[in-house]
Formats: sequence, C-alpha cells, structure tokens
Amino acid sequence: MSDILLKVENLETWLGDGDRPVRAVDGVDLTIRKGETFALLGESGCGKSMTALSIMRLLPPAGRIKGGQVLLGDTSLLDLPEYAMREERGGRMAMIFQEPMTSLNPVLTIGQQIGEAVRIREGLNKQSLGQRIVELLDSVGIPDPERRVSEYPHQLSGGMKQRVMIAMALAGRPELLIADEPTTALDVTIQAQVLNLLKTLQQQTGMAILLITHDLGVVAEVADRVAVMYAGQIIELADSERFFRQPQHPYSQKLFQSLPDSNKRSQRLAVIRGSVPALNQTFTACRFMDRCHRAFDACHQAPEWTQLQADEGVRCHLAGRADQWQKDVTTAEQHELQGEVAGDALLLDVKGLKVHFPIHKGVFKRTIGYVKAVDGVSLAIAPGKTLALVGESGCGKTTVGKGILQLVKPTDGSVCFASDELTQLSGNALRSRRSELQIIFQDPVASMNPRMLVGDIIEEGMKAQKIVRNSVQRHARVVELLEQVGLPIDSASRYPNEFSGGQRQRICIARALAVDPKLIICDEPTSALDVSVQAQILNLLKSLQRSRGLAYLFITHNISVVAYLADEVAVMYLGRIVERGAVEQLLAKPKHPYTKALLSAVPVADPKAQREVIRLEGDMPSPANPPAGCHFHPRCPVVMEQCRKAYPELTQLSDGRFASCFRVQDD
Amino acid sequence: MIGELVILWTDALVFILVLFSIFFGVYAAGKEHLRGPWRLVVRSRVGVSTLVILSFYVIVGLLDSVHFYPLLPGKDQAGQQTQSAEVISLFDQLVTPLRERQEKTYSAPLATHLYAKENIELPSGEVVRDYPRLAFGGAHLENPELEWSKDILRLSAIGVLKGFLVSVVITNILIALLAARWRGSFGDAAKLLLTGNTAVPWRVVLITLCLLILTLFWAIELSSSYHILGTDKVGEDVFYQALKSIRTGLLIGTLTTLVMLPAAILLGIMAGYFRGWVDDLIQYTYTTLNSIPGVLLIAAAILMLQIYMSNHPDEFNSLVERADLRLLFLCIILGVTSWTGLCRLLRGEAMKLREADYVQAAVAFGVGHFTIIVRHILPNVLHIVLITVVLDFSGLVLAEAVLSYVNIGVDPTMNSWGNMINSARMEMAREPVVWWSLLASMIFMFVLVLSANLFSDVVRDAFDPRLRNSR
Repeated sequence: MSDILLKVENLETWLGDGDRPVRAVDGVDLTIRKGETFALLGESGCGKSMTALSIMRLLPPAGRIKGGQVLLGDTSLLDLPEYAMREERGGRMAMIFQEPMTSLNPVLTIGQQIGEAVRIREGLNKQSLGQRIVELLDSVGIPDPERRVSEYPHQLSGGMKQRVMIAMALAGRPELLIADEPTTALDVTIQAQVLNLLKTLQQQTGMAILLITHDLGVVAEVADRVAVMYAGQIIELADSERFFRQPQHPYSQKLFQSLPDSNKRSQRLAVIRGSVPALNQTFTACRFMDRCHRAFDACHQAPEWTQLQADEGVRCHLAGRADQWQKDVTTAEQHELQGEVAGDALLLDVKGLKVHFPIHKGVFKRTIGYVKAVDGVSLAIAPGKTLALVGESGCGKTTVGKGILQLVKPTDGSVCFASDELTQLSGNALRSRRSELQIIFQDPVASMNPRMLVGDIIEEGMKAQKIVRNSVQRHARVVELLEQVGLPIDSASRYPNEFSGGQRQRICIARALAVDPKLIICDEPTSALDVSVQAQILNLLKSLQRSRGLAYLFITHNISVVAYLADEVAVMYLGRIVERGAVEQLLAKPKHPYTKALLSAVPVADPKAQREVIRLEGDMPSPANPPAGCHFHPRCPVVMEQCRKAYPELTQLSDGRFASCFRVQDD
Repeated sequence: MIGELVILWTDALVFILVLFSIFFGVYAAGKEHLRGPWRLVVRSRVGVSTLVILSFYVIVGLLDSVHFYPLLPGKDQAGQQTQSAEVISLFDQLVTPLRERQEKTYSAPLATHLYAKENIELPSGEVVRDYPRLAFGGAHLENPELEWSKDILRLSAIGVLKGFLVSVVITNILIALLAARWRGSFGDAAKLLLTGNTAVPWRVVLITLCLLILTLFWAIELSSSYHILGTDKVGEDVFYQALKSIRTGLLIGTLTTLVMLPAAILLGIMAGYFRGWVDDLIQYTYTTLNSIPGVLLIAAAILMLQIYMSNHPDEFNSLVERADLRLLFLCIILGVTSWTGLCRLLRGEAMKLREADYVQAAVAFGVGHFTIIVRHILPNVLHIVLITVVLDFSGLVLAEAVLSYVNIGVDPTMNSWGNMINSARMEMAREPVVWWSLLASMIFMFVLVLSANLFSDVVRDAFDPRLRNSR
C-alpha cells in the first residue's frame, strides 16, 4: 500500500549491558498511514516511550537497538548515518515531550527557539524568518503572536509552552508527529485545548500522529487506531471504534473495567492483580499470565500474534476461541459496599480559611503583596463521609489540605475539628491532636524517607503519638497494618525503593492508619499511578472507610475518581470554592459555568459519547493578582457586566447545593 | 626501648577520628543506602588502587602518631633506665638509621661526597680543598669512583628481589584467603584472580600492592647505605623528612574537616530547616566570615599564638609539643575559615528536604523538630558531607604547603612538605642548585593529592544519585 508512512518491523531495543539487559522493546511491529492518528496505549514501564525514542534514534546512552527495521516512506531509518538522521528528525518527523516546562531553554526567547528550528529547515532570510515564526505561533493558537515572539518561556503557562513545543515541531512541516504523553502534565481544560489543536493541525497539514498515552479517555478522543502495549510487546491492535466496543485481549478488557465511574459506586472496582513484570528476563510463558483472570494451560506457551482482520490482531491464546467472550469473574467480585456510617455532628468544619503567602522584595524584604493561595474557603465533613475537593493545578487545593493540618499556618479563618479549634492550638497541644488527622500524598516515592525501613516508617507515628509504648506490641501492630493494606508481612524489614508505586502508596496508607485517625486528607493519592493500580488503591480506601468509619477529604483533579468515591464535591477556582454539593447532583447537573466547563473537558473512554466541550479560553490567572470582580469572569463563556464589578457570594440554592455565580442566582 | 607514652593533642584527635571511622563503618555496614555506594567504590579499578596507596600513607601517618620518650641504653645510678629528653614516634623508632645518620650539610641523592668543598687534611698533613667523603652515604666503599655504580646496581637487585619474594608471599596469602571465603579450591581462586574475573578488582589491588612493595624494598635496601634523596642543609636525610611530612599533611587534611564538620552540619541544617531569623543569623554569620580574606585571619591567629607561646615557654615540655599545638591551632583556624562552603550546601539541601513529603508527614504525626532533623534530614544529607570531606582533603593538603611557604603554616621545626618547599626557596637560588628537597616533597605530595583526587572522584560518582542514575 502506498499510503503507509511509517513501518516498524520486529523492533528490539535493549537497555543496559551485562548479564540481564532490560528488553524494553521486544519485537514490535506497527504501521502508520498518512494522516491518521495512531495511539500507543500502555501502563508505565511497558516500553511505549522507548519505542518512540527508537524510531527517532534518540535513545539514552545505555540503550541500543538490537534488531528490526524502521521504514519512513522508503528510507530505512536505522541504516542512516547520523548526519542524515539529523535531517529526518524535525524534518519528516518531529517529536513533542511530556514536560513542556523542561523542554524549552529558559534563557532564550520563544522566537529564538522556534527560529532555530525554522532556520535549520528552511534557511530563510531575517524578515521571512520572523514572518514564519509568527505564522507558526498563530497556527498553534497562541493569541497575540507578535508580542509572544520576544517573551521568555517563564512568562508562558504550561499549556502555552506545550503549544510552543508543537510550533517548533511543526517548523519542519513533518509528515509524522510523535507525541509522547503530550497532555499528561496539563490540566483537563488545557488538555482539551491541546488535543483540539492537534486534531485541527492534522486536518490542515495532513500529518500522521503517533500518540503515546496511558489515558483511555485521550485515546477515545483523538485516535483512529489503537495499539495496546504490554511488557515490551504489542498485545492488541484495532480500530479505535472497535477497540472501545469490544476489546479482545483480557488485559484491555480489565483496563476498561478498572476505570472508576459513578455507575460502579456500590461495587469494588475490577483490579488487575500484581504489576508489570520486570523486563530483564526471557519470557517463555505469556507475559500477562500471572495477572490474567483467564489464564489456562496453554498460556505457559507464549502466544503468537493472531491476525483477526486486515487491521486487527491480538496476542492471546483465547483469540478466536468459542469461549473468548465468556463472562469473567468480575460479577463475583461485586461486593456491596453500601454501608452508611451515621453521624449528625460534623467532624471537620472549616470556615473562611485563608492562606496568604507574602511576596518579599528588595534589600529589606518588604512585603509588597500576597499570593492568595486560599482565600476564604469553607467546607464541612461528617464522620465517615468523603468530600472531594476538585480543581485545576494551582487553584490552592493542596494548600487547603495543608492549612487544615496546620502544616501551613492559616492567615485567617477557623478550622474546627471535633469541637477543637486547631488554629488556636500550638506546640504540644497541637501535636497531641495530630493523630486524628492524617495525610496521604500524591507522590508515593517522595513521601517516604528512602533511608528508613518500612517498619520504622510505619512505627514513626505511633512513637511520636506514644500510642503503643511497648516495642513488641508496636511491631505486632505494624504486621497487622501491613496485612490490612494487603502487603506481605516481611515488608517491614525492607526499604521503600524495593516496592512498586502502588505498593508504596499502600505503605503510606498503613502509616497514616497507624495512629488511628478519624479523617485522612488524600492529596491526589492515585494520580501518579497506573489505571489498574489506581483501582486497587481506590478499593482499599473504600473498604477502609467502611470498616473503620474514616472520613476523607479527597483532593483530586480526576472527575471519574470523584464520581466513584465521593459523597460531596467542592469545586475550587483560584483559592475559592465556586460550587459545592452532593456528588450525584453536582456531576449530573453542574450549575456554575466553571464546573460545567471542567466536567465537559474530561475525556471519556468512549468515542461514541456525544458531548459538547465547553472550551475555556486562556489560563487560570495568578493568585498573586486575581482579576477584579468574579475571579472567573475573564474566562467565563456567559460573563455579564455585573461579574466584572463584584465577587458573587457563595449562596445556598433551593436544591441544597452552594454556588457562587450571579447567573445561577437568577435561576 | 619504649619509655613513657606521650599523647599529644593531635594524636588524641587522630585516634578519636580512627575510632569514629570504625564506628561509622559498622553503622554503614547495616545500612544499604550507605553500603551500596561503597560497594561501587571498591568495585572500581581506580578506587581500589588509590585506596592501596592511600592506606600506605595512612599507615605511615598512624605509626608517626604514637609518641613516647625512648629509653636510653645506659642505666643511671639508681639502676633505672634513663629516658631521653626527646620525644619520638613509633615511626622514628622504625627508621632509626635514617633519623640518626646525619651528614654535615648538603649531599646529592645517592652521593658519596658532600655537595660543598671543604678543607681536608690529608694523612700526609697536606691540606687540600675538595669534596669530602660522607660520614654514612656510601661509607663502605673503598674506592667510590670505581665501585659506586656497581654497588648501586647490586643493592637495587637485592632490594627488588626481596620485594619480589614478599610480593609472591602476599599474593599467595591473598589467594588462600579468597579461596577460603569463596569456599573454592586454591587453583580456582588463583585463576579467577589472575584473569581479573572478580567483582572486586583484586588483580588491580595486587598489581598496585606489588609495585608499592617493590618500590619500598628497593628504597629500604638503598637507603641502608645511601641517602637516596640526598641530605639538607644540616645534613638530615631528605627521604626521612618527606616521610615524616606525611603525618602533617594527613592531619591538616583530616583534622580540619573534623573541626569544621559539627559547625557546618549543625548550622547548615538549622538554617535550612527552621528558616526565619535562625536562617538570617546563620547566613549573615557565614557571609561575614567569607568576606574576611582567609589568609589574613590565619596569619593573625598564628601570630597571636606565637606570641603566647614565647611568653609562656614553661607550659611546653618539649619542642614537639610546641609544634603540635601550633599544628592543632592551624587546623582549627583552617576549619573556621572553610566550614562555610559545606554549610551553604547543607542549608540548600535542608531547605529542599523540609518541603519533602516525608518530612511533612512526620510533622503531621507530631514528631518533634530534633527528631525530624536527626532521623529524616541528617541521613539524607550525609552523602553531601562525605563527598565534600573527600574533595576538600586534597585542597587542604595543598593549602598547608602554601601557608608554610609564607611562614604562617606549621612550626618551622616540624617536618612538612610546605616547610621543605619553603627551604627550597633558598636552595634553588644557590649555585649549583640544590633541587632534591623540592623534588622529594613534590613527589610525595603529588602522589598523595593525585590519589586523593582520583579516589574522591570515584566516591562522588558512587554517592551522587544523579550521576548514579545516568550510568
């Protein structure tokens, strides 16, 4: 076929030397046609990025390509000498990376950096170079490109930087754009903008996109074809539409089942047990066998690739067998988790919480202003309930959590916990109340001291709170806690780095539970984890809530997790809560325009879902200098004259929810 | 032969340092995050070979740090053995011949005659002006002009042969030990070792060790009859002086760090962890201290000490004690001027760590400040401390040489490479030039500093997490 742009055959990439090299990519075949979007989907550590880097021949020093072929058009990329390869990179193919923050040089202006890419490709004179730069910036939807040309990367927001990266990639008019998790580091509203941009650009230029992602929602949004990668191999290849209708491989099926959403509220999420196997071994059995719920005798033999249709295939022994679609055990796993904890009194009552960070300037460090990270937040949690705090990054939701815990001293407001005013306490009085409030962090790697044994980490709180004074009893309790969070009991005498991300998050939960808290503040506890592992942690949190009557303040930006776990939701924008209400109410019928936009921007793992994305223009303003009037008005699609003048108070509506918008009050 | 022990201030500190290192070694053996990098160090070829050379220096330095009054051969009236009034070290005792065979003045390396002409009275009563024979160097030769080169060759051959024999013995012992440890046969162990197929590069250890032993035995054999690096102005053996200087160099390099470590670690972590006025105070202190030229501060301190010592001569029992106090003072003042660099590094690191999630988690548990610093911050900055200490060492050895050169270093009576270089200033201006003092001190210092630098490179590579990940 002549419309094939990229053809990868039996690509093998190894990392490291020695006896046991990591076979990061182990025999990958794929073809990408002109003008299509091809998604490479997989969990972290299964070789997606390595595949892309092998195609670009940009492997880290430890990596080398062991075999296979990469054909771009008629050119065999792996046989090109380095100088010819440089022509191809940024020429016929270009790449954008996950972190727009670190992909731009902070000491050069945007214009200089794009100009460099343009000059190499086209060698224009100074005037037409300037024109081309402006044209490129314009094409990626950057407003006011003439002014932006002379700005530095730090003056741009994350979404803008990713647009600049895309503009640089477009400089060589590529036929193939490799996008390695291009929206993972961005907020949902910005993610929607960037995905939209990629789609538009594709229509305009007719380039093909190789999109690497772990997010089923993103795949559903933009992909034409999908390849699922697992442990260095492609295990399923299908049309996007067919893939979402009927995934073939047990792994893909499980991935869909483990996605949280509101329909699964009363059941446990399906989990894929264990984690991706280490790639420094030679596999004889099927790589997925240990985690597969359908494994049978034949799986001890590695399955061959089964071509189902022209463009569809799967690497599984079940393919084409009569019992392939047999209903699996998930039905049996459905436990009723409905068990309400009754309670009238509020456990936590926060009123008008403010956290302002002073901005110092000059020799004498005069305070010239404040970053109003949290500016008057009120919320309440009853015992045994979950309140989800939702918002984009930088809106101050983490600071709310820290302010409640008194890890950051609040500037103003009251934090009333079980009838104690925490803001008034200090020193030992505060220290002794700390056992009742605990926190679980986002990054399970950074939240444990790498120099301490897991047992010591879990014991730390007990020692500090003098809960169990006897060391034998303390040890027994550690063992009990490890069992509760589903870890082997010998974990206590190992170091955190011997565990995977999901297991580390379990250790963090065990550590928090050690002091018998009543409220746990979960600061994005699953956003650093893969989907299948996220399901394990959510199940654990939910069952702990039921057995111990815990209350959670769940800080997140992931709406589907909120739908699955939360009882109440509070939506935050620029340091203030804009809407608060029961979860069914708020997710089904959002009233505040920001909530509406936020919910509409969330990609859904179903390409047929017809939804209208409310596109928000621009980015969140800086909390050091919030706009006058309603903070949301510069981006609001339904802004009125009144919104520019005054901030709407948070008022209770007739259906019980709170919202702060002049429009909503009109209803 | 050993009389009353004398424990000098620096000796005490050296042995405290040794104890401390042993204690740290035992502690580190139980901690994977500390043991892992050291394993990388001993698996690197450069690491082990420099380690062998450094341990030679350390052994000489330690032997030179046990001081005592030697007993004199004769007995006094009461039948007691008399003690010498002079304090010497165990090392001096070992190399007594080198120490005691003094010539009149300069003589070139391996020479048989002095380097200066004198009036010599011949047996016939005639007085001629010529280079006289040395009292010790090549004194056994009847006719130096004819026999000299043959004698040097003979002694060299004997020395190398002895060294070779000892090397063979040591190789066999090492193979036997390794065989016992691996529970294999002697032949297998020998094969593995000699083909270089071991995790720890034992072959490199062995080669370095054998070269060191060969050089050592060759030097011992030659210096039994000659001054292999010549003699200085007062006829003292330069080889002996260079060896004695090892202790001074090592002490300056290590004790200074010992002096500065507590201040740097404590203040650095406090500044970074507590922030606020504590940070301001500590930061201003080290900024101020940094703005005073270090050399001026050192000069002022040393001159003050000199005046104190000349006003209170009765407080010092011996010349060695005087010199020792001055060395200690130099270490302290060097420490005071050099803690700021490490302090600044640690402040930054502590500032980063106090925001780390695990420190926040500890605060959320109500853990006290002191416990947080000791349990969470200190272990996570130890690699920086270690890297700085090792990197600073060679710089301090060189600093001693520079300071002694401008006369504000160690006591002029104390052997040090700086003092040797200082005296070489006059010697180089002489005609004909006396070059061997300078050369000897250069060689010894160069080997030490080069090994220390190479070693510190290996240590830094092993401990720096960023470098480790990129490998």
